[in-house]
Amino acid sequence: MPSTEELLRASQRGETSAFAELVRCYERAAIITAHAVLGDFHLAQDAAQEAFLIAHQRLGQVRHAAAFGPWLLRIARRRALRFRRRRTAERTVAGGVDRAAAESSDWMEPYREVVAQIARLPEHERIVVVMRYVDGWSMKEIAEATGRPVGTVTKQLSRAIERLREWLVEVQ
Amino acid sequence: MKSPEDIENVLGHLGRAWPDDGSIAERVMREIEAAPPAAARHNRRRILMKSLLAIAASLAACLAVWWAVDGSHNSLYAQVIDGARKAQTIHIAICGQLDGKTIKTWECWYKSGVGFRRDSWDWKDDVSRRRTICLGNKDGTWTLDVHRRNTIVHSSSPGISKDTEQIFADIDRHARDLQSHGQRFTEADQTLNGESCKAYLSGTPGRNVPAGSKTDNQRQLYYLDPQSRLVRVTSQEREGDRWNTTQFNTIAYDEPLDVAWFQPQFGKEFQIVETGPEAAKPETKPKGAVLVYQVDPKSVPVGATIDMDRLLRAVDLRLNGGNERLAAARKLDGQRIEVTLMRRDDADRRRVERQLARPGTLEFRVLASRHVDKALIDRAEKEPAKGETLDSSGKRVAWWVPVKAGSERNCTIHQDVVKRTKPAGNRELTEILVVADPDNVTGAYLTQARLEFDRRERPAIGFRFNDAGGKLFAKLTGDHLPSKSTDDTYKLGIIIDGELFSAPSIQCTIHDRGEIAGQFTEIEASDLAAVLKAGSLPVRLQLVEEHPRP
Repeated sequence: MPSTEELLRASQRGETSAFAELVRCYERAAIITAHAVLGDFHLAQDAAQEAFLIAHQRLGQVRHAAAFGPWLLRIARRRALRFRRRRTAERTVAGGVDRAAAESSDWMEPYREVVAQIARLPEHERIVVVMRYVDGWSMKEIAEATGRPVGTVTKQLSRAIERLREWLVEVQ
Repeated sequence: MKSPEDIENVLGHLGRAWPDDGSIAERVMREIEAAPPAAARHNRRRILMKSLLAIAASLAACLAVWWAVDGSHNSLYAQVIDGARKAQTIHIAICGQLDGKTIKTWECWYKSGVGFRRDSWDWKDDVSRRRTICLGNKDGTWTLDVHRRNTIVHSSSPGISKDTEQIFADIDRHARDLQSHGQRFTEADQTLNGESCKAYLSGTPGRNVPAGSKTDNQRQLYYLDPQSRLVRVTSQEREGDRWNTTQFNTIAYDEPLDVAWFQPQFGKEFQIVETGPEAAKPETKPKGAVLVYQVDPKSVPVGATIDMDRLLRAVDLRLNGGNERLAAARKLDGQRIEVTLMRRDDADRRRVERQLARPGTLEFRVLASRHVDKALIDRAEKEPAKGETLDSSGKRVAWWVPVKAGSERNCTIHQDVVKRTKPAGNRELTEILVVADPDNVTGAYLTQARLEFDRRERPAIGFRFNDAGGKLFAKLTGDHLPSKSTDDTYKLGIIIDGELFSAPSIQCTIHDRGEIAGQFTEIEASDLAAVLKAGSLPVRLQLVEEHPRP
């Protein structure tokens, strides 16, 4: 599996296939981040898509590959917040007619609580959690992708799970 | 959802339920391929706009600074600098506080177009008691280092201008601070040199601390004479409600000065011993210190022989197993080890002594829980004079462990911790009850201990056990997982050298590695990790001799 470092450098040289691979690596983390704000899978997809487009335009700003994932997730969150403001304005204009029906049919609804807690994690831990459990990658694959040693990834993951557990217990 | 496995399952479900058409990669790539030129143009436009804005902002900032500092001809800055430039002579004296006494540390005389003289005294340096005199006139500059031996050297400093620039740079620095932060402070007005002077208050120069800021503990008082010339700068530090003066500079203008002062009287007053830039360097202090340790005979079991090589390895690991090399150790004979400090530094010396005096033991014990160990706790609390509780066969089942000073709050934050306090010298010693367990997880199983940083980026000690230790640790933590019915957690006491450093909750089974968080500085954590890694010394060591490094 090519590392984020390799994909990022290739993307910065203009190789679109490399950027497509970066999107595949980080899209679920970005969508989950946006979903925590918007509560709607399709809107979250739209926000994540915009985040990747912005990231593509500003790829030159990223010097260290390790910073790419956290940076992308911050963009995704900001886009999602902008979507939410826009949606609130539209609702106000439409006199309260909103997309509640669409939201209630959202397939991620049963996972809303866990998604909200994942979004509270620091970005680097959020990425590791999503890659491990939602994408189903092995620790070795995550280590290769993120360019960190397996030990570090394992430690980050166990810390993240510990935090999630504490937070979910608090919620319950 | 209380165990990590539950969370992992839910997240796994989320991944499996993810729709097949949920990927946005194709959509993103279509967008990128459809509109790269527009995006690039947009980007270029944005970069251009940003650059223009940055240039405009820089220009505005420069204008603002110019206006604030120099723009107004009547500004405080302009008045102070004008006053200094017009002066024919300037005499500056800097006085500081040393051991409660006011001493002059620096004095300078300047006569326009003639020369300068600067005397400074290195009072804090007990070794050399050095005095440096700088003399300058149109012919050159001499730096005269007067040590105990009256050694005189001629430096290669070029000309008169360098030092006079320094005098004006100091006045300029004060004037800028006065302009930026100075506020009129009438209550400190006073008469100096027979003239009534106005006081101005400012924060620490260079740190942009607003005048009179309550968040800072340092301030400057500036005094201007009736001609708006800077005549005194006083530095003060807060001690409680009082402001104590730590240093003051007095500046006098247009005093009669003897021109002969600016001429070196070589051959009469001083004799040149060495010349050149090398000679101008200060005397170097003797470096390093050598400590000789001897095996304490009382700590050697009767009939046992001491393996000095093993002892030396342990000593070396304790001194140099952390993040930096502290001292070199070598064997002198069958009883003595010589330790040579890398730096002659009191702090390093104290660290060496502490590193070699520590027992270096580590153990993990479960703290007594009010929910489970009720009977045991009752017995322990009924016998306050005793440090431990025994069962009917005389085996120790629970004992009190003193909490490390400074860690009391961390260790007793949980309500169900069983604690007691007792006076110890001038502080109160907190003790916490721990219970015996069959696992006996100790530092003997450690394979690694090093400085790490916890999740809040505070220094901590990361450790790793060998296989046997990992199994015991997993058993100890696995046997004390949170109760599924009541959510009560057990606390794991981390005991180093007989003191409780921290007591985190046991949330899941921990195997071969972990982290000890506490109120550490980076140096403490690194030193402690080195001691734990080295383990206990087989014998005690006594410091028997000390001398400077040859």
